[in-house]
Amino acid sequence: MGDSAKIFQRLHPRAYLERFVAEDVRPDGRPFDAWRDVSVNVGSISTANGSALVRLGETTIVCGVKIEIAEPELDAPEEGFLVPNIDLPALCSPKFKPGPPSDEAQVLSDRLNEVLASTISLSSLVIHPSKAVWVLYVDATCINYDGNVFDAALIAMMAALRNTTLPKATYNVETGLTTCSRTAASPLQILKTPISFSFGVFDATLLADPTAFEEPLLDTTVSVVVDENNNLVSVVQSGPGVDSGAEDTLSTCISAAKSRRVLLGGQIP
Amino acid sequence: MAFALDRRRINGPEDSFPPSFDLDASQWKLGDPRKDRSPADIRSIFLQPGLISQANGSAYIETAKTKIACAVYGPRQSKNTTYSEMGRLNVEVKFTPFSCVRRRAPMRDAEDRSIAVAIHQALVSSVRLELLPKSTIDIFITIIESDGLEGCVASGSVAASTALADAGIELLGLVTSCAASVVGKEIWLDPTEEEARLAKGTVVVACMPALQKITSIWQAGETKVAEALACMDACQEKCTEIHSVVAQALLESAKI
Amino acid sequence: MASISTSKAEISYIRTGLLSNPPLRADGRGLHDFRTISLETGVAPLANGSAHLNIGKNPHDGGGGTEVLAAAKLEVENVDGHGDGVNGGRIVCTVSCSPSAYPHLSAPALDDLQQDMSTLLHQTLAHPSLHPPNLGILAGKKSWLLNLDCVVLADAGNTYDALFMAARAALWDCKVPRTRAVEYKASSAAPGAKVLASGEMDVDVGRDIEAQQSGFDTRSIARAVDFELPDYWDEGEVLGGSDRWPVCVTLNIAAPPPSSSSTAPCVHYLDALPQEEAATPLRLLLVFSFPPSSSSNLQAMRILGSGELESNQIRDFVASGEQYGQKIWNALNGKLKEEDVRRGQKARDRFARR
Repeated sequence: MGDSAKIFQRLHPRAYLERFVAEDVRPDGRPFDAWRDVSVNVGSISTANGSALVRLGETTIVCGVKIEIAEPELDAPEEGFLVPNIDLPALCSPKFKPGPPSDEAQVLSDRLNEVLASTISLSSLVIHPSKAVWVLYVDATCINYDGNVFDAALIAMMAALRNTTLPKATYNVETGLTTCSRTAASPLQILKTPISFSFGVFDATLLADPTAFEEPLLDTTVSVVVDENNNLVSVVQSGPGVDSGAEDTLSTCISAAKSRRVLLGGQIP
Repeated sequence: MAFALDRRRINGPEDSFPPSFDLDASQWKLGDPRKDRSPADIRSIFLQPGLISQANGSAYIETAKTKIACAVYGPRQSKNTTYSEMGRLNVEVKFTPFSCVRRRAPMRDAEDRSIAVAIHQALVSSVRLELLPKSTIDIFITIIESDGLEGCVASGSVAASTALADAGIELLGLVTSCAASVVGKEIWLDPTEEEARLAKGTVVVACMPALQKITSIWQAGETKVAEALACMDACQEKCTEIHSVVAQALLESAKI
Repeated sequence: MASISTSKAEISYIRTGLLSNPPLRADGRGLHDFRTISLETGVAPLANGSAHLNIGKNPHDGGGGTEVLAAAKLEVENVDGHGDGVNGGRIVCTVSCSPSAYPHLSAPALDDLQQDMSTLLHQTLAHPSLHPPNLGILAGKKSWLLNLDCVVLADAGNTYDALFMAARAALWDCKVPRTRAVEYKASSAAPGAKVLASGEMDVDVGRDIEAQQSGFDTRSIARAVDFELPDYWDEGEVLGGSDRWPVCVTLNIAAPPPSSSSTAPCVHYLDALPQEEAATPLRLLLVFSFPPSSSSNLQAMRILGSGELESNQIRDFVASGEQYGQKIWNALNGKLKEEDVRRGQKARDRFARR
């Protein structure tokens, strides 16, 4: 990219993107409906009980699962805890400042929490009813923020959870202590593996998998979460829907997500 | 561990504890010879500049288990500070919650700052801040996995200096850094967390090998003066080797 | 370090003075002279050990100088794996700075300064190599947590040296209360149970008392379940290893400015004033301990501030620092022993008057 093109992009981002869209291509050379490549690498962090590194184009997320033991809540004696959080540190993009979680991080953590809630049955995390249960801390950190962090974070969290094993734990009623075996362990029981697919609408054009440059210019964003049986888990739309003739945006997104889910299914460990 | 409920995060139970295991795995003891490598060996370094596309400069470093990402933003305008003739170098260090054996709840603690201060000390005299009045250079470091505080300080300094070079900021020289522990009567370079814990004392040296200048010495624990100076020399020698690794990594990334 | 605002002309004036031959300092001292140091121990009646230290008090009106108060306070902590308590006890050092000592610093900057000082003091004094032997109470159950709190009341330069001296004095002065392990058992006397010097009191029926010098004494771990504090005439036994707590020497390094053509060698000087600290930002901190039987130990070494050194310069500085450290060590020991005698005398006087 020449210097003058860079300056134009910086000063007039909307006009810059409009010119690309008029030529039926996006600034990074993708067609409107193309996705960036996904790569997943699991189990590389030895201090975590399960971990994954996910790259979606340039967007990079690391996720680690730490297991701990706690007493269950009084009103839910046979339920463990699943605690997902995402951190968008100042490292990953100039738009974030050091300090407490930004609004964006809070919204993302909340949405991830909603989706993850359906993937693990909390009753499978019980060691001894009303005395000891597992707590799964699922922490994702964004290393490079190049758009569509929600999709990447969900892949990272699911891959890290699938990489997690729980040691065999026994609760001693007399001492009130839980001891775990170093050798015997079993993987987590995961009910389903949802994957999210996000789209953005820019001037009535549907862009799949938007980048950090495109995201602030979008009028509408849609995220479709689909599980391995191609069932819808959730659909979130923010911004107005667009009627583009025969089919509305939402149905287009859903069918695109479902066909992409089939393609991607084999790639996610 | 009572803490105020933080509504900006998804919260777990009030209290939770890491699992305790029935028997301890056989561990390396003091007095045993070093596992996996000889005393003068350091863990092999993987260094990749420019991984974080959003930053002005960045580097990722991996030395065995230690994994650190570093991004440089700036020089950019100093906000809400008074006029300063010299640029400011700001270093912030963050541990991911899963980076240590025990989970770190996401809150800024003293250790983050002490590592940041040590890295700042290692770098500050290498950057030509006198050329950047009214500006700030932000160095953000995320420790993805840690295997010893000393290793984090040393690798963090190397990554940060690489990222500064990757950002095209004028430096007097590249800073490299290395740690050494006095274990028994021997000097072990680049100690792991376990080795540093059992050592009598540990020294971390940061220097600019191209100028033969030392920018930081950080020593803790009980060492004889001669031992500390021997550690310093051993580290300085190793830093020269690390310097060529960094230079090579920067050259390769510049070619692409 | 917190630098006060100093103009370029002042900086150059101070630096030229330090580098000239013979060197000139604002208060007429030589490069390696300290200001007067005054020290008093046992100043905080509720602490287990305390000290008040002043460097550079004005001899005419008794004001000014760097003023540090250090106090060691012991509390009992559970050792159950869930909290922070560990077998054999632990030490936590905290430094706080009075805002009136740093009126030019904003609140966050003051926080950072306090934290940096705390970190250095904690990393040095709480290192396992200096750990006192008698902070345990009951292995696996209870131990002492020693909180060493230092307050910088006024900063007239050289705070690190002052902090370490005050910390050494407070820890020297620290007394650990005597504890006795208590055990509940049917029989009244267990084999091997022994009553130490302080245990000539009644033994309750059904209760077996064992005096224990420290938590490392493993003879009774399995049975002792609790402990009690016997009533005894003194405040307790002296904190172990009191002669090992180190002293700090800050070598301030004055180098000719890089732009100047002068070839004057870089010099080091001690006990800097705040203006001098601002003019020469580079410092080498050396923390020494001088065990009686062997050669000196380096307990911490740091380079602070922007600037760089060559390794042979560091060698020279460490060698000179060791000599200064030995002098400070000897003088401080003399004063601490004097204080012990003075307070012993004071206690006897008070007792005689009753």
